Amino acid sequence: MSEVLGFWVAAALTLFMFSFLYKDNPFYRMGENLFVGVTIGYSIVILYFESWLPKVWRVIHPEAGVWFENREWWVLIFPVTLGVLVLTRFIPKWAWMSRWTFAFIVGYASGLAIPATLTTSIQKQAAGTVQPLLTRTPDLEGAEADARGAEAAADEAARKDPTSEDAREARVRAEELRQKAEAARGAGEAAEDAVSVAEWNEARKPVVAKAIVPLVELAAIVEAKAPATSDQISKAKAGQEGAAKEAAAARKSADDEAKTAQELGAAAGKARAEADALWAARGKTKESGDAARAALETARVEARKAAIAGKRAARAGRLALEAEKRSAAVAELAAIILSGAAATDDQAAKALNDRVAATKSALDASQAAIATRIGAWDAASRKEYMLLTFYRDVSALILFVGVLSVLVYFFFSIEHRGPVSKISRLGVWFLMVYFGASYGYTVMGRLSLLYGRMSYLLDASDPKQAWCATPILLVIIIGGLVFLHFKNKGQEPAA
Amino acid sequence: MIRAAAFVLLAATAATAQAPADFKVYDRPGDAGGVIIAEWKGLPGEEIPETARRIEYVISVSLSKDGEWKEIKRFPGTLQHKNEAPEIFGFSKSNETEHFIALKGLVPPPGGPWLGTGKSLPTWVKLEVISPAGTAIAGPLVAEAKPNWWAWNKTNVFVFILIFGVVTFWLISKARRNPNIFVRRIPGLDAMEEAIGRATEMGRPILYLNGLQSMESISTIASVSILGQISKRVASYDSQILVPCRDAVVLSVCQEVMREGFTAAGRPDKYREQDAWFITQEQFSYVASVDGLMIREKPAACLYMGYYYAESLLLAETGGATGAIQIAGTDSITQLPFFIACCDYTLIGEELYAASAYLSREPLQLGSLRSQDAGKIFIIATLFLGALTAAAGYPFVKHLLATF
Repeated sequence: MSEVLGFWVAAALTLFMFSFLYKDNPFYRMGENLFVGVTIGYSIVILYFESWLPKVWRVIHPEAGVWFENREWWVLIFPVTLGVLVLTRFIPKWAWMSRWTFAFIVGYASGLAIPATLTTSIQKQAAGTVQPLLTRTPDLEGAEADARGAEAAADEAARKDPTSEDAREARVRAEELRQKAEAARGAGEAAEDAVSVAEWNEARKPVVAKAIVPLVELAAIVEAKAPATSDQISKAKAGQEGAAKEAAAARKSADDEAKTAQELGAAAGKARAEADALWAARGKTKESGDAARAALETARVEARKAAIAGKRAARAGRLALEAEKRSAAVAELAAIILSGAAATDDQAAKALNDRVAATKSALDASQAAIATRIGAWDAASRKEYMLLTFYRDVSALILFVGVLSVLVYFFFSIEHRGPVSKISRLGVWFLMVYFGASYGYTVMGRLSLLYGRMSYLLDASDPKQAWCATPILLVIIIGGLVFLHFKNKGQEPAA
Repeated sequence: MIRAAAFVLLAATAATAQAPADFKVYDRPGDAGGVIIAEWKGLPGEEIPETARRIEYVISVSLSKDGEWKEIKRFPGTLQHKNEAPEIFGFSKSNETEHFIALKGLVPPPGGPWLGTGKSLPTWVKLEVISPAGTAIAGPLVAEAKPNWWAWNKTNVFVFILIFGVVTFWLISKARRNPNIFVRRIPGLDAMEEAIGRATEMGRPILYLNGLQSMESISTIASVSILGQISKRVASYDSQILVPCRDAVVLSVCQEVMREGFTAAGRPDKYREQDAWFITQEQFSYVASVDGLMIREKPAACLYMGYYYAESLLLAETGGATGAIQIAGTDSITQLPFFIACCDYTLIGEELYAASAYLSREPLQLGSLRSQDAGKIFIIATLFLGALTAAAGYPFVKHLLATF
């Protein structure tokens, strides 16, 4: 029964308040006065039980005074005296004495408010605004350390209570930081690879330029379609030997690189298998989790080494192949020259093709060196971009400009003309954008409150639970308003 | 390589099982009492997380050197570094490698002798270090918690207040010598005169609200100060002002300020104490009552000065519906959008603080207004310097602004 009564009273008061949307009326007035009366009564009771009894009466009362014997009860003299002085307002002759209390309140309020305002509204805000506007220091280690710290915290929370909200939040945070560190690491590795490719191309450029010299020279001799001189024959022999040596050295280097890559790949595979086994077998203890994580990290490092070695081997293989092709072409040209006969038209044409191809390969090597160096710079900037978090830099810049321009807007003793006017106008823009966003955000909150009240009225419509309180009350209130409208028709005061 | 070196170093340290260097126990400086600090340097090699994780520190306390020890905290070498508590240790680089723990000083059991606010019994503290190769003990050492007179970590606030105070006094004395100080136009305040004139012409009252905060709030102090100036004008125009209050102390101050305003305008007889009254302290019942008042009294002007919460829109909407000219002034940034949307004029943030000086043109207030501007110049300079030094990797300006 009391629950039904509660529904009726609450629904009636809610509807009384909503009736204000129509206009001021007796229902609203009833709700308003009841609201004010109840809250005043409630405040007095709270004041009595929360302030007067524990903070004054129980301290000074001889029987109730547990504090009285050994506590600093004398500190009460001053505030209680000030409190009593407020009551002198009820005696007009002595009312002036209450000003002492108010003067004290205003004085101490200012004293309290000034340091607090300086701290919260100025120092804290200024410290928050002081950000390096463009961070140039990559911080992969920091990101990884943050991720590790968050993972440790998540494990700790999970050990306490794996189902708790704290544990879930800690896990989510750890995952976010892990992804951030992963992205930063990926960008770092890409930059490393790009630098490595650029360096390789830069190193390849003079090698190719030097390596094509015998081929170009021999091709020119063949293209001349004349019997070779003794000088040309010795040049052909030397060129052939040199090209063969170069090809053999390149092939050996490629084989060595391939072998190293293979070994490192095997080591990485083994480390990964061990790490996976440790991860699968890890217990709930912190130590086993840490050990598995450390093993995974080692496996990752090993895999990275193997990947780098694999790329180096592939590049060495390409170099060897080029050198072998060049060597074969040189050998072919040398054979024509060493035969002593003049080259045929076909042989001369092929020699021309070989020479052009060799020159083009040198040109390509030179272009590749430039292009990959640019790629390396790009990758390096992307790596820094990832680590710097461009978003943070832009935010810091917007915040900085916003704070400065808004501060300028609030200059009162400087005339807003010229550049000051422009900056303060920018400040107004910042303010208005903020106000717009804040307006939308708050309206959403208000709608949620309205939804809460509507939901309550809907609950109060339930025939079993609330005996149809809302519809019945709605009919009564609307009926009452209609009645009052016709009753007071023509008596409305002129606006 | 570094890790291997760290392990070797740790093994060497642990083999001899040495206690950490510089174990110290002392009363926490600059606090209200009750806390003692134990600090020590981390073991060599702790900067490597894997090594630090293998070290465990155990802190125990006792009332006597040979008494019963109670374990307070156990943590690995990766935690409790002094850089986690800049409010105690500042921002020194060495804090990253030193550990600390803040302990509650031991006090007598309930019913025992009272030592005084913030004081503790002599508390013995012992540090046990457990590393892979052995255990070592540092201490025990003794300290007593006691309250301190000076909070060192708030010294920067004190210095700033001192500087601003001196500048303010200087600018006030300057304004007294030359009161012709330029103050830029604030349309909302110019409109107040118009609002009071309109109310007089229409024969309707002006509704003035002080916001919902108590007398401790700066916005309420500013609002009451503006009320004094408005009261003078209302008295000289022979109009009426209604001030429903939410706080009893604010009510009393408002009554005094209004009385002074009417007296200063030479119309003390026109002052009516009942024009300022208390409604209730509860937020929405106060609003319900003020909304009802607006509908019934139909004030010609509604002035909302002070700090507001969710009621801002309820008040401004109802005021707008009555056709009153509305001027708001608040430093409540969450409510400013509503006032801007619903009122004819709005004083944004600091304009509220400047309003009193603007209206009164008194040298004292003009000087303090100039001091506010000087403060803003100081802040802008600090921000520039701070951003530049932070970009260069020296965050000392940020540290200087740190608050605890």
